Amino acid sequence: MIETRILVAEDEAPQRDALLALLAELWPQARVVAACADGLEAASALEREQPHVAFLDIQMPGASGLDLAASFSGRAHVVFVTAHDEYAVRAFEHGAVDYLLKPVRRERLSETVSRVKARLGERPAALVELLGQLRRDLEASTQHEPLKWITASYGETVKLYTLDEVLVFHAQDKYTRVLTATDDALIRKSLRELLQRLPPDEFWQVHRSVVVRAAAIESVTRDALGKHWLKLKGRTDTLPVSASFHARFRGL
Amino acid sequence: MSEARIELDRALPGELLQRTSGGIASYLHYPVFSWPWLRRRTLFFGLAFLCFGTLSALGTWLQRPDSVRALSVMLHFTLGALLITTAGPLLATLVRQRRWPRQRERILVVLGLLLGVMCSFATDAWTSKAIEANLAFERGPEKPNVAGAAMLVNVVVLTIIYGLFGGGLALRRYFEEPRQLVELLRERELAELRARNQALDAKLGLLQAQIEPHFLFNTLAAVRSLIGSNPAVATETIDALVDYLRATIPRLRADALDSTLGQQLEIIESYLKLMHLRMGRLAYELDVSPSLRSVSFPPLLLISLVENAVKHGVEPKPGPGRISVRAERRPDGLRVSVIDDGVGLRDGSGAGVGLRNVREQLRARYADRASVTLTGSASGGVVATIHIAPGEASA
Repeated sequence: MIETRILVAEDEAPQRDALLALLAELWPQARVVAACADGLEAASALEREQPHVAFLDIQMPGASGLDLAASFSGRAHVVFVTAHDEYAVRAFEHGAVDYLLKPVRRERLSETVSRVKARLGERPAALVELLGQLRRDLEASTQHEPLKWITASYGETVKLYTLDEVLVFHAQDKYTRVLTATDDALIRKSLRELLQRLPPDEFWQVHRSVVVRAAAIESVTRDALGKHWLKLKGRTDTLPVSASFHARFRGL
Repeated sequence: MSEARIELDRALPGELLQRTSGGIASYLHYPVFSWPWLRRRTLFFGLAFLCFGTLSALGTWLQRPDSVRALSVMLHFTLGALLITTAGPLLATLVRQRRWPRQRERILVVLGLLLGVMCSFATDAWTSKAIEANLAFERGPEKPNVAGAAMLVNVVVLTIIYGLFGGGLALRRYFEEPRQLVELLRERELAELRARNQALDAKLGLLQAQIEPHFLFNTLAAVRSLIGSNPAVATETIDALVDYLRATIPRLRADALDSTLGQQLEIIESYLKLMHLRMGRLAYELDVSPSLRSVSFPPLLLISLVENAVKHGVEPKPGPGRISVRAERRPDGLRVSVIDDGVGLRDGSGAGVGLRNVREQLRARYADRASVTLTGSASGGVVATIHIAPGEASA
């Protein structure tokens, strides 16, 4: 029988050492081929060492344990190690051999070891489904959750603005200008993309290229040509209002 | 619900004025049919009529330079018009001054205004005659036999005109005033409740110090691993954890809201020390002069920024990371910055609670005097800065 090759990825050294010590004690026949301190290290070690079993911490710098498992899907038996993670149960359902909650205890790890040993003869489960599921979760959460902050370039720097600071989104080519009470910044997102994630009762689209914070509107005036312009509280800019949005202001 | 009583000798609440305000017509700032209202209204109308009267006097004088005649036109016009507009309101004001029960007051106010309208007919007839007598051009002979219907129309039109200027518009306001006042009181109450709610929320945000399960369990796992291999570091880690928990665990004491910059730095130091012991790759420095440590500073805001720097900056980045905390006092106020060299800013939606909470706390405490900003550079790293402008509460 060939020797079982194990990879351990855990970013905190004391925990990594403790896990290695426990494994050596509970599974002396196996050989640890890589003990990695972050996700990137683990990714290259997985390819290089082709381990049979991988103990992966879920939260790690560089790449998460979930990312690693998905990209190395079907090639190693995966055991997730996590302090507290809502994904752990789902990961288990989708084919991980086991998941361990930190702090890892000897009795629990010995259970895991026997479970893994029992599966060694089988082909490792495909975890691609897991990646798909996680991606769907992530997309669902980002689509349904309203935007709370944005990062925009302001001069030479990138600045973070909470949504409550923003007064106007103004589409400009591929970019969107963001106006706050004091700043005039640029973000690399289209207005259309942004619109889906803005609370509609707080932000009104008044023009094909303009979305304003309703509470910041000071006045809407008509010029000699019959075009409507909008003025904001605390700012001097005027913004266009298209015909189809006039109705919104009749009631003001 | 008890009806709101209007103070007759005081200006109306400012919020009401925004809806009714009439620029130079300052009488609109007072309750209808009150003395201050009547005085200002009479002055306002008087001046306006004096202008018109002067103009028509000028007109007559240009036609025939007869000063006495012109003066007579002016006086008749001004006084007549003033009487027409003021007689009714004067009576209504006299009624309202008695503070009778509402129903009675309303009936008598309306009666007073009607009496005023009748006065207006008499006044108009008198002044018109006097003015016409003074006019130079000869009118055609009067047609005394105006048809009945035309006469009626004439009277109706005049009544409407007299009614409108002689207190009709005021009457509308008179009937609206109590309702508006009740609405206003309700709005004020609502605003007050909202403000109180906000203050409570801010307090709650403090009490719900978010000790993340992930942080806690990882720390315990680290300690457990260290107990066997390195008991001295295990002890150190537990000490730092205790310091951190003591400072951040929810407290319901009244003084939970007061703290100094020094106390906040101690919390930060225990947290950073803990993370340094756990991660190994995290270095930190606190660069704050001892004189600033006694400055009053809101609790749990800085630690929130430091936790963000670790969690979203240094933790996701492989390799060594560094966090510095700096404070300085400048003429424009106190500035405390948390600087990291982590992965930098990214768009997000989930974990913004921390920053939002910091901003709300600052707003609740300092209104517009304080701010928190996050800036980063394209190469990564973030600087989070709390700025508090000088003022009573920051000394």
